[in-house]
Amino acid sequence: MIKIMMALVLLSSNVFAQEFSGCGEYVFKGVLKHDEHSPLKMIYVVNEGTKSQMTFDLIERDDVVKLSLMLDLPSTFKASITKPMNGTKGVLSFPSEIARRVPNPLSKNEIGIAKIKTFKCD
Amino acid sequence: MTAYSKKLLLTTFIFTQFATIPVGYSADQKKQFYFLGGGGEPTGETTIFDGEIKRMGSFINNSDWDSTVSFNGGHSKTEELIKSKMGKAKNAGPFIEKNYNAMMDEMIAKMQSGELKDGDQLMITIDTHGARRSSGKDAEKTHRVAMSYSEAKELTNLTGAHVVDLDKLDKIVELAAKKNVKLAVADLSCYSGNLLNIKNDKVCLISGTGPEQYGYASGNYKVAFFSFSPAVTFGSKFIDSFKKGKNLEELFLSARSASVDTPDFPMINSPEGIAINDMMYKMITPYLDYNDDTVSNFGPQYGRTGNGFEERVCNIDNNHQQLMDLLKQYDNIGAVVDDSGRNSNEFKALRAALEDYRSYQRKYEVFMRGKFEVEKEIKDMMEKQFPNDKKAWSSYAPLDLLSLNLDASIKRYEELAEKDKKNKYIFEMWNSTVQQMKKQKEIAAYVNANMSANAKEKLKAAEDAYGKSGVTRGLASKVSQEAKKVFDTLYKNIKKPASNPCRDFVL
Repeated sequence: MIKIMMALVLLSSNVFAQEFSGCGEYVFKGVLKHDEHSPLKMIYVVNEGTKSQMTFDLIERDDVVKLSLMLDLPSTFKASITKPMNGTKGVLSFPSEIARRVPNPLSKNEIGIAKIKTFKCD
Repeated sequence: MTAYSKKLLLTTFIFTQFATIPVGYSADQKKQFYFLGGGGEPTGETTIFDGEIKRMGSFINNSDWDSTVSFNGGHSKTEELIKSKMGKAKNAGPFIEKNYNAMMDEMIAKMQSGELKDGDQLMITIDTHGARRSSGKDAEKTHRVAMSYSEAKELTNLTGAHVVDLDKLDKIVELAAKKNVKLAVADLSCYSGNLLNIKNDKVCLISGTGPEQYGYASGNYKVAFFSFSPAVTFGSKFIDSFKKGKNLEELFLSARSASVDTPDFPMINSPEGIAINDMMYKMITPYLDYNDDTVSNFGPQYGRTGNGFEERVCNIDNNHQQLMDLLKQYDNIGAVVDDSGRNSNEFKALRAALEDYRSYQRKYEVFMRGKFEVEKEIKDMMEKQFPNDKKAWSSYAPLDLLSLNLDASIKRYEELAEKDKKNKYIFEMWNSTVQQMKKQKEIAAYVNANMSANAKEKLKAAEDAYGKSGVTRGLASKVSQEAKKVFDTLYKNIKKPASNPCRDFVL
């Protein structure tokens, strides 16, 4: 019994969660959407349709041009968050390493944001 | 070294089962049953839940449980089935938010008022489409499920469907525990393992799958004029075996072991179940990914671009090796042995299934590697031919530029530019977008025309490999099936004589 219980304890683990945790460079996994009400008429939506939904405005025209190829497609890229988020709303800038993303419905890491570098907010 | 023989366990098992069957019910003991769900389905006459309606109907109509049903809405044949097969139950109307809340409030009121009291039984079974749990601090505790009169356009977040979260169950669980009402909740929807985020050792919680997996309905098959829905999934087997005198722990274990061809991970909140979930679930999860007509979660772990591909493969290999070593250790320490003192074969069979899955992954990785080599070749070509147009290609995965429908995108942005022509700032932005896309189109045409024959072959091979990757569904199901056997053996080995709320919950 002890052996089995030891074996059970050996592999116990916690579930990984993704969310905003201060300014920095993040990997984004979501969808670019046309939105008439945002500053440059484009927003990036992460965790769409869930309670964890986050929307990011784009405020530089170059960033919109860069991302435009991914309109309405599941995508992933690296970008910076330089200002604290206001609830579930934020701003992203300097996207790079832009790629289409094959939706992976069962992977927790498939949508969301994940921080890869920390820096101070503007 | 202590060995736990199956013989001894069988005796213990039989003893505990007999020990838990009550000799009689008090005359005024209430037994109330709620069956909810059937939401999120496309328009039509039937739903994928019809098989479960028939099975549940058989229990409801042939038992002495006081039953309430709120199921489906908007599918004529399904509604006919509910009327004909569940005639004995009170019909609380379609599964819509108003009715859902009313029933939850009704259960709470019954316990608060004392209508349901110490020793009474309350069972809630939910069978509908379920969503993956949200993440972050505002996430629901359990997860969300689909309501009727709305269609889930996808089965992860249930986009398009009206949803409610199941967090009200938390209050019902708390109240039942406080009032000593025997409560059982069975959530058979996708991602239903999140039900077990409600922690309470005084109630019985059962899920049809893990927190990160789909659940499976038995479906409905038609041959000539006959329609049938075989009980092969966990949910259908679980409901199919609802019989008077059976306890939920035994129903769960037998349905779990007998379900086949589904890459799922049903869960139970008994101490034994939780211990095994903690041990096995996370290690098995990566091997339950698969591709088929509706799901594609097998390939994405390798990434869309070649960046970091070898590191990912290396991680997969290391994790796999660690898991294999660990399972081997279980064999070596003789953690689970059979009658003759030999190591149980379940761990070996699980290892074999995991090796088969990993072996397929390795073959698939060869094609992926080839694809990423082509990606590098394309990047080199762009660097050489379009050094002054880096803006148009350097930020993107090279194969994306080749595969996207640039003509459609150009047309769309031209329309946006036309629409916003009075707003110069925005107009210029759309215009720049169109110009960039035209350049991208030119680059893509050049690359397509000048790619080597070898590169084209590698891309074709990768595409073919993806096309044939539906076999992963079978490999993942096999892993799930062998993991179920291990779960069953472990459960019986560590089963405590002391009862638990699922064992105490006798139908």
